[in-house]
Amino acid sequence: MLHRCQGGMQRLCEEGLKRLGSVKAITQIRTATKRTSGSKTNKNDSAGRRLGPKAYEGHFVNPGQIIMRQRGTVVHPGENVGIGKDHTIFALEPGYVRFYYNPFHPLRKYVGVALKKSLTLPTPHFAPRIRRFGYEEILDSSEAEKEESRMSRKEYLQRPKLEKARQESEYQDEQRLNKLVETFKEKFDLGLSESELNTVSDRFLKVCKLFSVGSSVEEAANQVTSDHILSLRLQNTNGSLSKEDMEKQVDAYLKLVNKFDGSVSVDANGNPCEKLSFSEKQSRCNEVLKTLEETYSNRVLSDEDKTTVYSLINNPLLFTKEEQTTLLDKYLPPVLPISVKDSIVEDIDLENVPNDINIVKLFDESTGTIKTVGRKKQAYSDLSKISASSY
Amino acid sequence: MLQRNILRQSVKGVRTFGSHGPQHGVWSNREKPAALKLKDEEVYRDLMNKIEPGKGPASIKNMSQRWSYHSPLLIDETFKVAYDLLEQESEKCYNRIDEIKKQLEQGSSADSSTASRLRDELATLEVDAEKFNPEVLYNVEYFPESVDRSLPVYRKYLERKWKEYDLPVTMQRLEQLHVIPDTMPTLDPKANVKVKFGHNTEPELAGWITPGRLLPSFAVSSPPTISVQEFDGINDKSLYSVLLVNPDTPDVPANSFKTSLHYGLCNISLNYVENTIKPLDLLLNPENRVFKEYVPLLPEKNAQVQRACLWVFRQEKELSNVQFSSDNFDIRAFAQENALTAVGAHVWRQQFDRSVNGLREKYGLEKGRVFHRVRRPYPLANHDD
Amino acid sequence: MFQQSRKVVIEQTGVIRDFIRHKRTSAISPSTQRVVNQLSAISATRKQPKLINLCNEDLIKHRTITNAWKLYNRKKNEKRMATLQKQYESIKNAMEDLKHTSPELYEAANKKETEKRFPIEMRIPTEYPPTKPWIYEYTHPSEKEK
Repeated sequence: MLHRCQGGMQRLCEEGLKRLGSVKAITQIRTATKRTSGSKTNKNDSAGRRLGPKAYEGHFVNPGQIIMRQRGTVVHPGENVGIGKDHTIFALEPGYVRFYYNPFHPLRKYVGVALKKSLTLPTPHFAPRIRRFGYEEILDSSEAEKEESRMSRKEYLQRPKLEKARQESEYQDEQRLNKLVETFKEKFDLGLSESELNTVSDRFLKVCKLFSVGSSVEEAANQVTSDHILSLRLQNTNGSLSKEDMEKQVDAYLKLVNKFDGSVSVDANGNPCEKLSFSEKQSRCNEVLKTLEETYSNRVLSDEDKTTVYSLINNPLLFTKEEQTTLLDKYLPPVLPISVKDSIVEDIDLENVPNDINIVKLFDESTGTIKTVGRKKQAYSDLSKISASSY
Repeated sequence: MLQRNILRQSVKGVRTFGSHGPQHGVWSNREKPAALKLKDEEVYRDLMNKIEPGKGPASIKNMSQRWSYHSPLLIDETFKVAYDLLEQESEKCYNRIDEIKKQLEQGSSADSSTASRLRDELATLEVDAEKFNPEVLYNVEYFPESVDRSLPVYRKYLERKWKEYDLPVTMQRLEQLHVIPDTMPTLDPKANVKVKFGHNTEPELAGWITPGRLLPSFAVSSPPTISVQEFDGINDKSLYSVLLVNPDTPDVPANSFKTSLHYGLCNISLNYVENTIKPLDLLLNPENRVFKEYVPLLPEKNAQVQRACLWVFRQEKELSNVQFSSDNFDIRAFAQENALTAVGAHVWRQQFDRSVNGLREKYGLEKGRVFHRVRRPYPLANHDD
Repeated sequence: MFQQSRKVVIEQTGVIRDFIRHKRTSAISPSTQRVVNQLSAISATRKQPKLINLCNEDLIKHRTITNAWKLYNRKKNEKRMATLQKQYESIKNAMEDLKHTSPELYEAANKKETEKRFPIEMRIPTEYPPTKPWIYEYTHPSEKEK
């Protein structure tokens, strides 16, 4: 349409020129390209976001005060400042704003808060940090007491349970202590007075407790001694015990301990026992092991034999708990190994199995086949039954 | 250990197992410390000889597992060749050691640089001669607690083990809890420092404390047992200082913190084997060794979590009449004045709990202050100078 | 505002970062990158070599064998390196000698021979020369067929 119009216009012009003869006219045609009503692509301007620093170098800021608003981390958060989810940097401590470069990240700008006017950032790498305490003392005594007794929800809810557990353990300790005093009176000829007996029993109980959490008897005994001496010393420094009294008591305690530890020791079950010398213990251990090895190994044991073996091994004086389990596993295994020949009955009538025989399938390694054999029921042992029968 | 005794009796202490020949080599024949040998005779037998398929290895304690164990194919034949090769190498080391010892004896008046070079070579050779010995490997792998630390080869392996796990953990805690640089500027770790409070009867508090742990106050009520394991470069007369400081003691007038000293030991003689500082020993003979009696950290209510930083220093000389202020303690100045070099550190944390007041009474301290639980925005006291 | 200028800090730390207009691309090839990506998606435990369940004695035996194998290999390598070093030294000495005694021969020995090609089938550098050291009239197998 436009072309046609233009064509028509041109024709007219040419005709006009022919008529006018020598007149030369230059015609420029500008068509409308801009819509008068405008378009939506041009409406993208928004108001400024008011970005930039809100506190400058050396300004005093309070905690929470905004130091910088930015898009992305134009400036990184340094010492004593935080950063928000829109990268707003704000003060965490009251102090003076410092913009600085960090030698560990030389391409970044940092802003931080120095706690003192005279300080510069970054703080030297090996210097101690300068920190603000910020908590106020409560001077009113009743307020202070109230605050001190304040509990977290967790602590409050746990309290009855903890109290119950404490009472329970106290009760048990008392029971054990009474039992120990009686044992020492009856079974051990220590020649101690009543108060000494109480001291010694208390000490023994503490040693037992430490022994049960894995320290050696000697270590535990030393620890209990040191705790006792320390408490006497502290009584002296508090003024409730004179120096002479303290020294006297320490000496008496050390003497008593020497005498007691020379004759009483702790066995594997945490009970008092006669102290054996190292060589004596060794020889008795060896004796038991020799008996076990010579008479009770590599053969099928009768029920009486099993009880004997169990009582030989279950000797808290000679063997620790760990050694006992190892030995029991060796000499009273749940099933005897196949290498014990007399536990296996080779030719067996599967139709008519005797009562004292179990039928099992064994893998023969040499031939790579599975064979069915009978095993004597005595080759199996149940530790719980044996232990029940041995008492 | 028990089975060993029986075997000892039967074989009369002579190692004559199997056909293959460690009997002739340098590792079994030479007069050497018993600590380099494997204690358990049964394990030794299984290590040097073929493990019989039905019987199984002595190291497996569970019998049914032991009886059903199978070794990899051809491991024993290959092991025999490998053992011989390594033993020959060790023999060369021992020959060189003998040579050097002879040289050192003869030329004791020769120039000191040669002598020190020879001594260095001797130290490395002593490790090299035994580092591939399977018995040594077994001991250090399965009984690391009971190996003889006076032997350099065991120390080398223990150091490696320490650097693999315990050291990184300690350094991480020291850095992340800012023990460095709030107390000492930095630490070049040389010794494995372990701490335990032996009076604790709860299983979770007994035993060595992991660095950085938050401990209740009753768990630290009596002085700690400190183990300082050195690995190299000390003599029998090495002296150590131990400082326990709290850099988080509130300094209310300044609205800041100060450092207080809670335990100060000096002139503690330690070596590779005797490496533990025991509280009983210090209580009975404190003279010239304890310059600050132990007082546990007893944080006040709302004074937040506080760090107990334990530093172990090597001393250059014996100390006497040490000057310090335990209330406002400057650990850096103290270390510099007394020429102390930090070799190890440890840290645990504490905060107010219900056992604090009782302990304050026990230690004869006055009742602790109570702080308001809301932190105020007030600046430092002298912030504008 | 800043106490130290960026330039000073950069100079102190020695960090230089060149500006490039386009996206930074990695040096490794896309196929390698693909493998790296695939491996990164697999959890670390699955990438661990599988542990053989050995008893203590066998584990120590295994370690001893490994130690011996390492020692054996190290010695072998050391020996080989020493021989190579010796060979190189003797070649160097001979050439130096030749340079002084007869510069013409030295020139001739070092003359470039442009027509003689290195046999392209010979791919692996060997320690010793072959029995037939140099094939001067080399023809490629494909040319031979013609």
